[in-house]
Amino acid sequence: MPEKKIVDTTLRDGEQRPGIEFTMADKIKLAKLIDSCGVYEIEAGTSNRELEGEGYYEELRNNVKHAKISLWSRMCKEDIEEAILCKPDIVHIGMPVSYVQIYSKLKKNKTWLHKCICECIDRIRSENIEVVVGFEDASRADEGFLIDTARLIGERGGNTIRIADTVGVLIPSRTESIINQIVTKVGISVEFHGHNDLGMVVANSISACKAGAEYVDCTLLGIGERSGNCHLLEFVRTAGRIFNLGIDKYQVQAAENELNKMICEK
Amino acid sequence: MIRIIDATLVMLDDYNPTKEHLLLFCGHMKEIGITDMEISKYVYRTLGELPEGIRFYLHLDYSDKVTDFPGMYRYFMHNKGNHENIICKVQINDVKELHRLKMFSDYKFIQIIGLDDLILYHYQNIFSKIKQYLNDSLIILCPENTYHCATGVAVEWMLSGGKEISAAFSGIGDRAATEEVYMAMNVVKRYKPNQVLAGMVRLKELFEIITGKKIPDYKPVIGNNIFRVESGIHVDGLIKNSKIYVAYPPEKVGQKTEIMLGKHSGSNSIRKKCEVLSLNALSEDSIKVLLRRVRQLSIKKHNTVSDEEFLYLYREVVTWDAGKEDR
Repeated sequence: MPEKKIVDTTLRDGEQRPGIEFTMADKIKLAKLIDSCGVYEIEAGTSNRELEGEGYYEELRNNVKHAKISLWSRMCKEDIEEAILCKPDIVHIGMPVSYVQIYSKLKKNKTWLHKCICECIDRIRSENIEVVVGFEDASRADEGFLIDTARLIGERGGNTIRIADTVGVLIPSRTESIINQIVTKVGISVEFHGHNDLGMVVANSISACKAGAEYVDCTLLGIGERSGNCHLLEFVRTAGRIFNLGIDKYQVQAAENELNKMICEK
Repeated sequence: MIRIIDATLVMLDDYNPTKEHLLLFCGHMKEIGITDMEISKYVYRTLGELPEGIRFYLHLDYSDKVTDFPGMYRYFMHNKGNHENIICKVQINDVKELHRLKMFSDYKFIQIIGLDDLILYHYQNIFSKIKQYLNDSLIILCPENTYHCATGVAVEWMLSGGKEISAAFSGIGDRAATEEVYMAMNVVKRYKPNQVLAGMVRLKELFEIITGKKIPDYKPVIGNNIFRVESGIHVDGLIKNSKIYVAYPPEKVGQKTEIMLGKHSGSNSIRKKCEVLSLNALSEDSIKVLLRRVRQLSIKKHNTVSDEEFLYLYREVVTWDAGKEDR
């Protein structure tokens, strides 16, 4: 069976669900449990050290034995410098790519975006840290722009493109089409990050894998904003029938029990 | 023309819904534009006179006689012969059993139940094969949800030219969720048999009363908390343009955006909250202090900060600010 890797984002995107407010101790405890599940990577938080707690990433490194540790950073110089100081294995840079995000949220243009992402990649790669560029709102973006930007990122030394269905509007066939275009036309590693707004996140994540995505983002219990992210256990039980995910389902269950306990104890 | 047939009223017999509940449920479904409903014999008998404007499909057992249940648009029966007005129900558990459909090639109406694992395969080829096996039959696909992909299968079936699917509210009975299929088709194909979908909330409340079970707060489309936003980046985006972080406006399904304060809030969340609670605007310094206190409190209590708690912190910061000027 083809191999696919799980990126667990419970401690970053999962924590975005209102009411899920982890302390540093909670995150370390969960990270150890998630590590024992067999995930490839733990996206452990952001570059904001005030929020994560002083010494969080050092503590994480002492406790996580197998998974790579990554963190999420905005696409701006100050945050990238903060991210580097945390010494992760991987930095995920969030890069808005739909026109509504570029022009309404960032109030910038495509040329600015390309220049800025190149500067961020150069800086991170100069520290020998891996770079994943997360295409935010990729599902509503122009496909030509996605492909051009993915090419630029690959040439600049970026390691992986993360296709994020930020508002959860993808359906399986469209997911397959977007991932397939990037894999075949650009030839860079692809990661898929789905949301469950229309109840299709497991189907979309499987479709992404079928189209050539190497990595899939999941969270324990499917926690995350709005209707949540891809539920790790549901994904493993389904996709595990055709892909080798290297995940221990019993450990996932144990980690979910612990998270449930944390949520219920509030 | 696509058709979503709702099968919720086949799944509720164990909860003994009253006639009033059933009439209300039918009314709310009609309000959101679902006018095809599957019902059980219990529902048929309890309803008595059937509400107008809805096509009813009655589920019968093998030994039942259609003539004993007049007034139906169609009847569902398991593996029953090829009769006028009878839809033959066929269970296909996975794609390996697909060849069984060849037996039904001359049937007029077929409902295929199951195909839980379809998404793992080349489902578009399989859809073509199904249509090929069943020639000119009218096919109602009823995907089951063992692998959490029923909504995806239902939507893809309709996008590949399939005309009818069967689903159930909130996915009860291991089906695709009616509201998810509806909104997915609305977002992807502008499917809108009715513009007013606020009835989704009333359907959810009624469903909870009938079943005595609470719909999970984060259930797609109908969950109570799905439009709560805490993340500073997202609140900032929503203030700039409400379309940035949602698939469809919350008001469309009878809900509204609620800004929550917590560990992930940003300065704009504080500004927005002050505005919503009609509080006086604060200086930049005070906003920074207030934001820090909001974050600290939310981490300490492992939860979001309530409006009362925010007001308390706000007053503390205002007092601190006034004291600073005095000094």
